[in-house]
Amino acid sequence: MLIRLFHHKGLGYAAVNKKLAPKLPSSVQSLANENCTVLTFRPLGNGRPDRQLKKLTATDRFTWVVNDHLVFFGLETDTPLAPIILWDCAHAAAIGSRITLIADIQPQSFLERSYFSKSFNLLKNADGSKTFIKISQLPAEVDKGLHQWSFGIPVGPEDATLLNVTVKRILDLDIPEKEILLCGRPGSNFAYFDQVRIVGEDITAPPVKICAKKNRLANEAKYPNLCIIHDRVYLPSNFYEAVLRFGDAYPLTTLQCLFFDDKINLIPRRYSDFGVSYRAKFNISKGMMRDNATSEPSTFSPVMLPQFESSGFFAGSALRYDMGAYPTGSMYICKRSVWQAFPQNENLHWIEFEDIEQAYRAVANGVPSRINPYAITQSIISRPLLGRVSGTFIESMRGIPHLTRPWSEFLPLKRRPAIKASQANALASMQRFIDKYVTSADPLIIPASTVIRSVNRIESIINILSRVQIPLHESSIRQFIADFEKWIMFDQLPFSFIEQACHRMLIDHAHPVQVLVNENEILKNHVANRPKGEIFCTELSDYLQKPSVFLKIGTIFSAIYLLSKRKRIIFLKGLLPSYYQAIINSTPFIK
Amino acid sequence: MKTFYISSSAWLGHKQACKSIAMRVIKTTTNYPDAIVIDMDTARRGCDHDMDASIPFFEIDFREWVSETLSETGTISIEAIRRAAATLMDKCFFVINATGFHASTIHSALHQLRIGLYSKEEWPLAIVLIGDDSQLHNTSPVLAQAFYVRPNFLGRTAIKTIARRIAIDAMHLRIFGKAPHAWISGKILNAIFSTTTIMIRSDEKKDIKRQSWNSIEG
Repeated sequence: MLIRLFHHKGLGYAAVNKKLAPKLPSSVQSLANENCTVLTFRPLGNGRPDRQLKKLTATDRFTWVVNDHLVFFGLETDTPLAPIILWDCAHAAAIGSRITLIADIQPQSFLERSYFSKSFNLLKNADGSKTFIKISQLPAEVDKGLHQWSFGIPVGPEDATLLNVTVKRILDLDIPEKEILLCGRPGSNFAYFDQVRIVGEDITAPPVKICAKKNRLANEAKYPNLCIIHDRVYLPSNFYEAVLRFGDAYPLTTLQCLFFDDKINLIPRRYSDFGVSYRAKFNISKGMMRDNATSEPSTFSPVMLPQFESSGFFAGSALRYDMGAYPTGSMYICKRSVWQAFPQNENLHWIEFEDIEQAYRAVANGVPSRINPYAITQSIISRPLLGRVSGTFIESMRGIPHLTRPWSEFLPLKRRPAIKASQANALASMQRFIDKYVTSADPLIIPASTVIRSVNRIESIINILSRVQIPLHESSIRQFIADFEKWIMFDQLPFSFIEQACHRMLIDHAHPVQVLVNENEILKNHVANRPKGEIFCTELSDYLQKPSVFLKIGTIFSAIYLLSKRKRIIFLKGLLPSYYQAIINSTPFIK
Repeated sequence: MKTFYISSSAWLGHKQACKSIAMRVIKTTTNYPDAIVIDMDTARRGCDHDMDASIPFFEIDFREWVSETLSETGTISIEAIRRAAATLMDKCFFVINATGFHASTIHSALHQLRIGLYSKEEWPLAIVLIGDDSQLHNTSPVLAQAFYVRPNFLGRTAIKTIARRIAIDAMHLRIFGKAPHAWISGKILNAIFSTTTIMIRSDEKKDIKRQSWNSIEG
């Protein structure tokens, strides 16, 4: 059988047609008559292909292409989608079958990477063609089947209200066999101790050793399919259906994620799901990891993080595939054996780009990252650092990142709390900061309205910072900024901003009010996000949505908006009903 | 770490008394990083006893940090200051005798010393700067703030002004997104350019059609 492939034109990939690419040689074309399946993007010299696959994108799967001998002509040369096509075909191939790659000039084929090397032997390498024979099952095939799932959540000892919501959703999922693992002991108000397995209680914090926790979850998992999520990720009710539709033997996969900033699902923001960076791989400077392994200097070394951060990161498009793509750490759908082959690097801690490090290492070894386009998740909370009111840089179908913000962003709608902290806790934390840094000769009282109105909050922050006293000593300044993040901002500051702040205070002798308020874009984003109030929650259930007619109307508007921007924001298979249903299925309602 | 500014007359006339006062301040007050000024009168009132030899005074001549041949006020040697900072002992008084130097030179040297001390794990108990009597009120505030961020009280009006400015900026950000001017001009220019491009394209298409008809007819 001869199958000719065509990219979706909207992807903007280099065209492969009669004018711009050499024709398929007749010798290769004739292989199709010799019980081989030939797949190519190249135009045919004569005759017609047996089958044409048009409008190919990274959401398509090729697990149905099965034959004793698959021949790919110019695949890795002609398409950036080659890794995911080869991944699918390699997993679908039976043991003993052959895969031949012809006319690819790359010195190393994707099938020669370490993930495939134990299962594929190079039979022939001559005249620009490489033939591999499959001798054993690949790791993802060993963990065959989609009816058994292990859900893992790394947790801390804080309030478990939101964790209860997330776990309840997993318990409600219609999956034949499942288990829920928590790494760490949740707060005392956790309601499902009898329905989960707690592991990794020996992993200490701070710092939050998220990689060690996720690796432990993967190692303790009983079932072959892993879904590791953070406690803010609310899974869709049709999760099982979505994974069945996507198919088995999937690589490092995730679902697209939305965060609705308002209470009626009218302000959708793409939120921390699947990222892409074109430059992060090519950082010149390297440092030592925490284990000081001199044989492996890394761009992900803690000392390099401020430089690494300036590489530029965008939300990735589900329709494209790029070697720089990675699932953000909040959700992984992955086979247990694949995770165990490429676990997270325990030298890194939370927010140290550990997700990118893992994805880059995995793809370098043959495991690509991609999106399942049959469902979405919703984030129950949003870190203001990631949920910018000015918009999010999202890679479009054509591969150009655009600053995208929903049209409804400026509407005066009732919003969800911006920060995951209660008003009482916020006030207590600010007082703790005052006790530590403000001189005792000058007692400072912060009014209760500080945690209710944004302007009052800013005034209090300025008032506090104008009275602090700290030595201009590296460890003291860094601790001061860390405490400011934790007790005053309740948000993460970028690594580069922290370096800039230290530099400004030391070299320019700038005052903290100037550096941490006037020059702080993150704080400005807090005010822009919540100009009046709703900064902190009164109770954690404020993050959940109330079913109402307005919510249905808001959801319809959002579905229309997202459908009209399906090549720019999120992509789902299907039309308006699919978008509407996907939003409703993943909305965390108050029950 | 405390800082002491001692006027040169007090240091030259009553050195032991100055040392004794500094020592007593360290011993009797808390760890609060005070900035103390000792002038002639204070030194005169001081006494020479109670000296504790266990805390050394490490004295450096400011001249070692300055090259006076290059300019009238002297040019500081950053390398010498950084080296001194790196080798500085903790649990000591670090005395810098800067008598007779221009204030701006001393300020620059303190700035460099701050950078030198930034990454040092332990700081000395106190930094003592000996300076001209005439510079007492000029240099002592700089010394007090050289190694610390000190409170810088802002009045109600100043606080409200800053908060209002941030609120207005945030409001613009919320309504228009990042860079409102770019947003507005971008929308207008985009509309103009895209309309113009469409018009030009349709004209070109008409031309091509006309030409092809002409060629067929011809």
